[in-house]
Amino acid sequence: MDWMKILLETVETSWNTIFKMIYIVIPIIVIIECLKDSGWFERIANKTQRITKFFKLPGESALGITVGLLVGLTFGSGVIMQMKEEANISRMQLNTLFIFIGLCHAIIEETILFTTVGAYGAVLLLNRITMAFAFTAIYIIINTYVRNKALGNKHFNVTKKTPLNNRG
Amino acid sequence: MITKKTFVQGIKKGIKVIVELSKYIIPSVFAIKVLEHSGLLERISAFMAPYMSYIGLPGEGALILLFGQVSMYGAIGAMIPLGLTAKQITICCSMISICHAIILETAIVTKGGANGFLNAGIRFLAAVATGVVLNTIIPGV
Repeated sequence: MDWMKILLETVETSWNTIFKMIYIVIPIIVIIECLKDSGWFERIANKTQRITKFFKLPGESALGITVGLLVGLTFGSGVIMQMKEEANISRMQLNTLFIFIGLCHAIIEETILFTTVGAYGAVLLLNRITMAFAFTAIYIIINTYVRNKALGNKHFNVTKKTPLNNRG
Repeated sequence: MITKKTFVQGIKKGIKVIVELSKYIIPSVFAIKVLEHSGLLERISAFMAPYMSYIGLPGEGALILLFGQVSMYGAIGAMIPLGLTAKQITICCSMISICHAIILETAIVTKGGANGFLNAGIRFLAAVATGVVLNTIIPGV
């Protein structure tokens, strides 16, 4: 193996990529930072309430979804944790919220990063949002079904147990 | 309110992201180059090719998806030297944008109070579904 050649190729390829990204990433992050400081997130949170209504989540979680979508999972999670103490939110709703954000977060930054490598940005974004909606909906449907079935079974067991108890 | 501080902080954060990026991109490019020159890449590729063909990726795609589990930036680093077509890059990027750094992000989700296993499982399923769907939808090679 020619280590010198490997090192040279590594430096060349990495430098080309990183240099290209400096131009793109820094302006994007400055813009996101401006959005954060101008209070734009609170305004756009009103629009994301459509998503929370669609998934039957409490309205307070709209800000968490907005921050998660535009900034990233860590910040979104932080906002949700704050919200958790104020709003009445069940474990299933929390799961729903995190599945949506886990599938679809930091969409601006990540899409642009991948576009610089040569992916079709529109396909990337559209696919991600569709998948987030589809799989969150699937989770809700399966969860409701399983829970209803469990309730039904319990009921069934109760009726079946009475004669057994009588026998004992 | 937007002040001078906003811009300074934005630029600082941007530089931080670039540093973070280089931390992952350089080692992954290096790892791929070493694999390529040692001939291991071909063997891994030949082994994985039949499985990867369902999602329209060459055998090396498995490595990109694996590197993506360390960090999203690692996947970008692994993707560049391999020379994929635009369709393959789109599929790869879509899968990784849905399911990346799964251990770290599951930890964040668990800390937030949700079920981590469920979250990771659904993300994995969604990534596989993405691969299969996009492979059939996007025309070309």
